[in-house]
Amino acid sequence: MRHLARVPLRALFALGLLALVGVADKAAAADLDKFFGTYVGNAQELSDTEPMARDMDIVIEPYHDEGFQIHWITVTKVDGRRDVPGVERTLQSAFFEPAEDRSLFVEIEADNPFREREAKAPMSGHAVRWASVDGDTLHVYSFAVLEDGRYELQIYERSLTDVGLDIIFRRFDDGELVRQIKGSTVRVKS
Amino acid sequence: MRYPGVLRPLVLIGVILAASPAFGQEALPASFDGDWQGKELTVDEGNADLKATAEDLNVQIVPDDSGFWMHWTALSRDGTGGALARQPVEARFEPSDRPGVFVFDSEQSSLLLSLFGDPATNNPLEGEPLLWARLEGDTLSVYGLAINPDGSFDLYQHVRTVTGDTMTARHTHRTEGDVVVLEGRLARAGG
Repeated sequence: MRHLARVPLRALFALGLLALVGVADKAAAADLDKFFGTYVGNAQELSDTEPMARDMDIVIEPYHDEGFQIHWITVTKVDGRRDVPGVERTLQSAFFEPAEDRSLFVEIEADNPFREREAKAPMSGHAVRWASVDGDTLHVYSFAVLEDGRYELQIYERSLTDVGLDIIFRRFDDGELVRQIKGSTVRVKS
Repeated sequence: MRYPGVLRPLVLIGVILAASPAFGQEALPASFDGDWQGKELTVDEGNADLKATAEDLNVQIVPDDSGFWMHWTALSRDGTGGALARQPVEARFEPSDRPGVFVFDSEQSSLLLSLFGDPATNNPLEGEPLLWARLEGDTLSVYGLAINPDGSFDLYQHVRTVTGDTMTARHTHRTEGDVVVLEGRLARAGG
Protein backbone atom coordinates (compact mmCIF):
# COMPACT_ATOMS: atom_id res chain seq x y z
CA MET A 1 0.00 0.00 0.00
CA ARG A 2 0.99 3.62 -0.29
CA HIS A 3 2.60 4.89 2.86
CA LEU A 4 3.53 8.38 1.79
CA ALA A 5 7.19 7.43 1.95
CA ARG A 6 6.38 5.60 5.22
CA VAL A 7 7.33 8.71 7.12
CA PRO A 8 4.98 10.10 9.70
CA LEU A 9 7.33 13.06 10.04
CA ARG A 10 5.07 15.02 7.75
CA ALA A 11 2.18 13.98 9.88
CA LEU A 12 3.92 15.04 13.01
CA PHE A 13 4.71 18.44 11.58
CA ALA A 14 1.13 18.62 10.51
CA LEU A 15 -0.12 17.91 13.98
CA GLY A 16 2.13 20.60 15.27
CA LEU A 17 3.59 17.79 17.30
CA LEU A 18 7.20 18.09 16.32
CA ALA A 19 8.63 20.66 18.65
CA LEU A 20 10.76 23.32 17.11
CA VAL A 21 14.22 23.56 18.53
CA GLY A 22 16.70 26.36 18.69
CA VAL A 23 14.12 29.09 18.95
CA ALA A 24 14.09 29.51 22.67
CA ASP A 25 16.58 30.57 25.23
CA LYS A 26 16.97 30.34 28.94
CA ALA A 27 15.02 33.45 29.67
CA ALA A 28 12.64 31.28 31.61
CA ALA A 29 15.27 30.69 34.24
CA ALA A 30 15.69 34.41 34.85
CA ASP A 31 11.95 34.82 35.34
CA LEU A 32 11.92 32.44 38.26
CA ASP A 33 13.34 34.68 40.96
CA LYS A 34 10.08 36.47 41.64
CA PHE A 35 8.41 33.18 42.63
CA PHE A 36 11.00 32.15 45.21
CA GLY A 37 9.57 32.25 48.70
CA THR A 38 7.36 30.61 51.28
CA TYR A 39 3.59 30.89 51.12
CA VAL A 40 0.75 29.85 53.39
CA GLY A 41 -2.95 29.88 52.64
CA ASN A 42 -5.98 27.79 51.96
CA ALA A 43 -7.90 26.26 49.13
CA GLN A 44 -11.07 24.43 48.30
CA GLU A 45 -12.27 21.97 45.75
CA LEU A 46 -15.35 23.06 43.88
CA SER A 47 -17.20 20.11 45.38
CA ASP A 48 -16.12 20.93 48.95
CA THR A 49 -19.02 21.60 51.28
CA GLU A 50 -16.88 23.64 53.65
CA PRO A 51 -15.24 26.84 52.38
CA MET A 52 -11.46 26.83 52.70
CA ALA A 53 -11.43 23.14 53.49
CA ARG A 54 -7.70 22.79 52.96
CA ASP A 55 -4.66 24.49 54.41
CA MET A 56 -1.72 24.86 52.14
CA ASP A 57 2.00 25.59 52.50
CA ILE A 58 4.16 26.17 49.45
CA VAL A 59 7.92 26.63 49.29
CA ILE A 60 9.61 27.54 46.00
CA GLU A 61 13.40 27.66 46.01
CA PRO A 62 16.29 27.61 43.55
CA TYR A 63 17.66 24.23 42.54
CA HIS A 64 21.14 23.94 41.12
CA ASP A 65 22.14 26.89 38.95
CA GLU A 66 19.04 27.65 36.94
CA GLY A 67 16.36 25.28 38.15
CA PHE A 68 13.85 25.33 40.94
CA GLN A 69 12.31 23.06 43.50
CA ILE A 70 8.81 23.26 44.82
CA HIS A 71 7.40 21.65 47.94
CA TRP A 72 3.79 21.86 48.94
CA ILE A 73 1.90 20.58 51.92
CA THR A 74 -1.85 20.19 51.84
CA VAL A 75 -3.89 19.58 54.99
CA THR A 76 -7.45 18.48 54.23
CA LYS A 77 -9.54 19.48 57.20
CA VAL A 78 -12.62 17.89 58.75
CA ASP A 79 -15.56 20.23 59.28
CA GLY A 80 -13.15 23.12 58.99
CA ARG A 81 -10.88 21.79 61.73
CA ARG A 82 -7.40 20.35 61.61
CA ASP A 83 -7.27 18.99 65.13
CA VAL A 84 -9.73 16.13 64.83
CA PRO A 85 -9.40 12.55 63.56
CA GLY A 86 -9.67 12.15 59.80
CA VAL A 87 -7.48 15.09 58.88
CA GLU A 88 -5.13 14.25 56.01
CA ARG A 89 -1.73 15.77 55.34
CA THR A 90 0.23 15.28 52.12
CA LEU A 91 3.68 16.53 51.24
CA GLN A 92 4.73 16.68 47.61
CA SER A 93 7.99 17.82 46.07
CA ALA A 94 9.27 18.29 42.55
CA PHE A 95 12.59 19.42 41.10
CA PHE A 96 13.02 21.09 37.72
CA GLU A 97 15.87 22.23 35.53
CA PRO A 98 15.81 24.21 32.27
CA ALA A 99 15.38 22.22 29.06
CA GLU A 100 18.08 22.80 26.52
CA ASP A 101 17.13 25.27 23.77
CA ARG A 102 13.56 25.62 25.01
CA SER A 103 11.81 28.02 27.38
CA LEU A 104 10.56 25.36 29.74
CA PHE A 105 11.72 23.28 32.65
CA VAL A 106 11.66 19.51 32.89
CA GLU A 107 11.38 17.50 36.07
CA ILE A 108 14.46 15.72 37.30
CA GLU A 109 14.95 13.39 40.19
CA ALA A 110 16.22 14.85 43.41
CA ASP A 111 19.95 14.49 43.90
CA ASN A 112 20.77 10.95 44.91
CA PRO A 113 24.38 9.83 44.68
CA PHE A 114 23.31 6.20 44.89
CA ARG A 115 21.05 6.18 41.83
CA GLU A 116 21.61 6.99 38.21
CA ARG A 117 19.11 9.29 36.60
CA GLU A 118 16.47 7.34 34.74
CA ALA A 119 15.09 8.52 31.42
CA LYS A 120 11.32 9.02 31.41
CA ALA A 121 9.41 6.43 29.39
CA PRO A 122 5.79 7.62 29.15
CA MET A 123 4.56 4.39 27.56
CA SER A 124 6.03 2.43 30.46
CA GLY A 125 3.95 4.27 33.00
CA HIS A 126 6.31 7.12 33.89
CA ALA A 127 4.59 10.46 34.40
CA VAL A 128 6.23 13.31 32.52
CA ARG A 129 6.32 16.63 34.30
CA TRP A 130 7.36 20.01 33.04
CA ALA A 131 6.95 23.68 33.95
CA SER A 132 6.95 27.07 32.32
CA VAL A 133 6.69 30.71 33.27
CA ASP A 134 4.14 32.93 31.55
CA GLY A 135 4.33 36.45 32.95
CA ASP A 136 3.41 36.22 36.61
CA THR A 137 2.17 32.64 36.42
CA LEU A 138 4.18 29.51 37.05
CA HIS A 139 2.67 26.53 35.27
CA VAL A 140 3.48 22.97 36.32
CA TYR A 141 2.15 20.04 34.31
CA SER A 142 2.04 16.31 34.96
CA PHE A 143 0.99 13.89 32.24
CA ALA A 144 0.71 10.12 32.51
CA VAL A 145 -0.48 7.34 30.22
CA LEU A 146 -2.31 4.94 32.48
CA GLU A 147 -2.11 1.16 32.36
CA ASP A 148 -5.25 0.87 30.24
CA GLY A 149 -4.16 3.58 27.79
CA ARG A 150 -6.27 6.42 29.15
CA TYR A 151 -4.40 9.52 30.25
CA GLU A 152 -4.28 11.73 33.30
CA LEU A 153 -3.29 15.39 32.97
CA GLN A 154 -2.72 17.63 35.98
CA ILE A 155 -2.23 21.38 35.63
CA TYR A 156 -1.07 23.63 38.46
CA GLU A 157 -1.18 27.38 37.94
CA ARG A 158 0.44 29.56 40.59
CA SER A 159 0.00 33.27 39.91
CA LEU A 160 1.72 36.06 41.79
CA THR A 161 -0.53 38.58 43.52
CA ASP A 162 0.27 41.66 45.59
CA VAL A 163 0.44 39.52 48.71
CA GLY A 164 1.30 36.01 47.60
CA LEU A 165 0.21 33.34 45.15
CA ASP A 166 -3.19 32.35 43.81
CA ILE A 167 -3.52 28.68 42.94
CA ILE A 168 -5.63 26.80 40.44
CA PHE A 169 -5.34 23.04 40.11
CA ARG A 170 -7.13 21.00 37.46
CA ARG A 171 -7.08 17.28 36.77
CA PHE A 172 -8.34 15.73 33.55
CA ASP A 173 -9.00 12.01 33.21
CA ASP A 174 -9.02 11.05 29.55
CA GLY A 175 -10.30 14.48 28.55
CA GLU A 176 -12.81 14.94 31.34
CA LEU A 177 -12.27 17.59 33.99
CA VAL A 178 -12.68 15.59 37.21
CA ARG A 179 -11.18 17.89 39.80
CA GLN A 180 -10.65 21.60 40.25
CA ILE A 181 -9.19 23.31 43.30
CA LYS A 182 -8.75 27.03 43.83
CA GLY A 183 -6.88 28.77 46.58
CA SER A 184 -4.95 31.81 47.69
CA THR A 185 -1.83 32.31 49.79
CA VAL A 186 0.25 35.05 51.32
CA ARG A 187 4.01 35.27 51.26
CA VAL A 188 5.62 34.81 54.67
CA LYS A 189 9.10 35.06 56.05
CA SER A 190 10.71 31.68 56.39
CA MET B 1 11.27 -30.75 37.32
CA ARG B 2 8.36 -33.20 37.53
CA TYR B 3 4.70 -32.30 37.22
CA PRO B 4 1.69 -34.46 38.08
CA GLY B 5 -0.21 -35.70 35.03
CA VAL B 6 -2.93 -33.05 35.22
CA LEU B 7 -0.51 -30.17 35.62
CA ARG B 8 1.77 -31.01 32.73
CA PRO B 9 -0.64 -30.02 29.93
CA LEU B 10 -1.51 -26.81 31.76
CA VAL B 11 2.13 -25.91 32.13
CA LEU B 12 2.69 -26.63 28.46
CA ILE B 13 -0.24 -24.44 27.46
CA GLY B 14 1.14 -21.68 29.65
CA VAL B 15 4.56 -21.93 28.08
CA ILE B 16 3.11 -21.85 24.59
CA LEU B 17 0.93 -18.83 25.38
CA ALA B 18 3.78 -16.95 27.01
CA ALA B 19 6.04 -17.63 24.04
CA SER B 20 3.47 -16.47 21.51
CA PRO B 21 3.88 -12.92 20.21
CA ALA B 22 0.15 -12.49 20.60
CA PHE B 23 0.18 -13.19 24.31
CA GLY B 24 -0.97 -10.11 26.17
CA GLN B 25 -1.39 -8.29 22.87
CA GLU B 26 -4.49 -7.55 20.91
CA ALA B 27 -4.73 -6.78 17.22
CA LEU B 28 -7.14 -4.16 15.95
CA PRO B 29 -10.43 -5.89 14.94
CA ALA B 30 -11.00 -6.11 11.21
CA SER B 31 -14.24 -4.18 11.69
CA PHE B 32 -12.14 -0.97 11.77
CA ASP B 33 -10.40 -1.64 8.46
CA GLY B 34 -11.44 0.43 5.51
CA ASP B 35 -11.80 3.83 3.95
CA TRP B 36 -14.25 5.78 6.08
CA GLN B 37 -15.96 8.85 4.64
CA GLY B 38 -17.54 11.56 6.77
CA LYS B 39 -21.26 11.88 6.11
CA GLU B 40 -22.52 14.19 8.83
CA LEU B 41 -20.92 16.72 11.15
CA THR B 42 -23.01 17.02 14.30
CA VAL B 43 -20.70 19.07 16.56
CA ASP B 44 -18.25 21.86 15.68
CA GLU B 45 -17.21 23.69 18.85
CA GLY B 46 -14.36 26.04 19.67
CA ASN B 47 -13.30 26.48 16.10
CA ALA B 48 -13.59 29.99 14.68
CA ASP B 49 -10.84 29.74 12.09
CA LEU B 50 -12.34 27.59 9.37
CA LYS B 51 -15.57 25.96 8.37
CA ALA B 52 -15.29 22.32 9.31
CA THR B 53 -17.06 19.75 7.19
CA ALA B 54 -17.95 16.09 7.53
CA GLU B 55 -14.97 15.29 5.30
CA ASP B 56 -12.68 16.49 8.09
CA LEU B 57 -13.61 13.27 9.88
CA ASN B 58 -12.39 11.03 7.04
CA VAL B 59 -10.07 8.25 8.12
CA GLN B 60 -8.40 5.29 6.43
CA ILE B 61 -7.37 2.31 8.54
CA VAL B 62 -5.20 -0.39 6.99
CA PRO B 63 -3.94 -3.52 8.78
CA ASP B 64 -0.19 -4.09 8.63
CA ASP B 65 1.10 -7.30 10.17
CA SER B 66 0.18 -7.13 13.84
CA GLY B 67 -0.34 -3.37 13.73
CA PHE B 68 -2.21 -0.91 11.56
CA TRP B 69 -1.74 2.28 9.60
CA MET B 70 -4.07 5.18 10.04
CA HIS B 71 -4.46 8.17 7.72
CA TRP B 72 -6.59 11.10 8.75
CA THR B 73 -6.91 14.89 8.78
CA ALA B 74 -6.04 16.96 11.81
CA LEU B 75 -7.00 20.53 12.56
CA SER B 76 -3.85 22.00 14.03
CA ARG B 77 -2.06 25.28 14.53
CA ASP B 78 1.50 25.95 13.52
CA GLY B 79 4.20 26.37 16.14
CA THR B 80 3.35 30.05 16.59
CA GLY B 81 -0.23 29.35 17.60
CA GLY B 82 -1.75 30.68 14.38
CA ALA B 83 -5.08 29.80 12.86
CA LEU B 84 -6.34 26.24 12.67
CA ALA B 85 -5.50 24.54 9.41
CA ARG B 86 -6.15 21.12 7.88
CA GLN B 87 -3.18 18.82 7.78
CA PRO B 88 -2.94 15.23 6.51
CA VAL B 89 -1.66 12.80 9.09
CA GLU B 90 -0.52 9.21 8.97
CA ALA B 91 0.99 6.96 11.58
CA ARG B 92 1.56 3.28 12.21
CA PHE B 93 0.67 1.68 15.53
CA GLU B 94 1.50 -1.73 16.88
CA PRO B 95 0.27 -3.64 19.93
CA SER B 96 2.11 -3.07 23.18
CA ASP B 97 2.42 -5.54 26.03
CA ARG B 98 -0.59 -3.86 27.65
CA PRO B 99 -3.91 -5.27 26.49
CA GLY B 100 -5.72 -2.82 24.23
CA VAL B 101 -2.85 -0.32 24.09
CA PHE B 102 -1.00 0.39 20.84
CA VAL B 103 2.25 2.28 20.57
CA PHE B 104 3.41 4.54 17.78
CA ASP B 105 5.83 2.70 15.49
CA SER B 106 8.70 5.14 15.23
CA GLU B 107 11.02 2.72 13.46
CA GLN B 108 8.99 2.99 10.27
CA SER B 109 9.98 6.60 10.11
CA SER B 110 13.56 6.48 11.27
CA LEU B 111 15.04 7.74 8.02
CA LEU B 112 13.90 11.33 8.29
CA LEU B 113 13.04 11.55 11.94
CA SER B 114 16.62 10.70 12.77
CA LEU B 115 17.53 14.14 11.50
CA PHE B 116 15.85 15.47 14.59
CA GLY B 117 17.34 13.12 17.10
CA ASP B 118 16.56 9.65 18.36
CA PRO B 119 12.94 8.99 17.41
CA ALA B 120 12.71 5.90 19.55
CA THR B 121 12.17 7.66 22.83
CA ASN B 122 8.61 8.83 22.08
CA ASN B 123 9.28 11.28 24.90
CA PRO B 124 7.64 14.71 24.77
CA LEU B 125 10.09 16.05 27.34
CA GLU B 126 12.75 15.68 24.69
CA GLY B 127 10.76 17.64 22.15
CA GLU B 128 9.25 14.62 20.45
CA PRO B 129 5.56 13.86 20.05
CA LEU B 130 3.98 11.15 22.14
CA LEU B 131 1.50 9.11 20.10
CA TRP B 132 -0.45 6.06 21.17
CA ALA B 133 -3.81 4.35 20.73
CA ARG B 134 -6.27 2.49 22.92
CA LEU B 135 -8.89 -0.08 22.00
CA GLU B 136 -11.87 -0.67 24.26
CA GLY B 137 -14.62 -2.82 22.81
CA ASP B 138 -15.71 -1.25 19.53
CA THR B 139 -14.01 2.06 20.29
CA LEU B 140 -10.54 3.07 19.13
CA SER B 141 -8.96 6.20 20.62
CA VAL B 142 -5.83 7.74 19.14
CA TYR B 143 -3.92 10.23 21.26
CA GLY B 144 -1.15 12.73 20.60
CA LEU B 145 0.69 14.99 23.02
CA ALA B 146 3.25 17.61 22.10
CA ILE B 147 5.05 19.94 24.48
CA ASN B 148 5.90 23.13 22.63
CA PRO B 149 9.17 25.05 23.10
CA ASP B 150 7.42 27.61 25.31
CA GLY B 151 6.02 24.92 27.61
CA SER B 152 2.48 25.03 26.26
CA PHE B 153 0.98 21.78 25.05
CA ASP B 154 -1.26 20.37 22.32
CA LEU B 155 -3.25 17.29 23.20
CA TYR B 156 -5.22 15.38 20.58
CA GLN B 157 -7.81 12.70 21.27
CA HIS B 158 -9.62 11.10 18.35
CA VAL B 159 -12.26 8.59 19.42
CA ARG B 160 -13.90 6.35 16.84
CA THR B 161 -16.61 3.73 17.42
CA VAL B 162 -17.61 1.24 14.74
CA THR B 163 -21.00 -0.40 14.37
CA GLY B 164 -21.20 -2.44 11.16
CA ASP B 165 -20.55 -0.06 8.28
CA THR B 166 -21.06 3.05 10.39
CA MET B 167 -18.47 4.89 12.47
CA THR B 168 -19.02 7.72 14.93
CA ALA B 169 -16.09 10.01 15.61
CA ARG B 170 -15.23 12.64 18.19
CA HIS B 171 -12.06 14.67 17.60
CA THR B 172 -10.79 16.80 20.47
CA HIS B 173 -7.84 19.19 20.35
CA ARG B 174 -7.09 20.57 23.80
CA THR B 175 -4.66 23.29 24.78
CA GLU B 176 -4.41 24.90 28.17
CA GLY B 177 -6.86 27.61 27.23
CA ASP B 178 -9.31 26.10 24.80
CA VAL B 179 -10.82 22.99 23.28
CA VAL B 180 -11.86 22.32 19.71
CA VAL B 181 -14.36 19.48 19.25
CA LEU B 182 -15.66 17.90 16.07
CA GLU B 183 -18.18 15.10 16.11
CA GLY B 184 -19.95 13.25 13.39
CA ARG B 185 -20.81 10.10 11.53
CA LEU B 186 -18.91 8.25 8.84
CA ALA B 187 -19.71 5.39 6.48
CA ARG B 188 -17.38 2.80 5.05
CA ALA B 189 -16.66 3.50 1.39
CA GLY B 190 -18.19 0.72 -0.68
CA GLY B 191 -20.05 -0.52 2.38
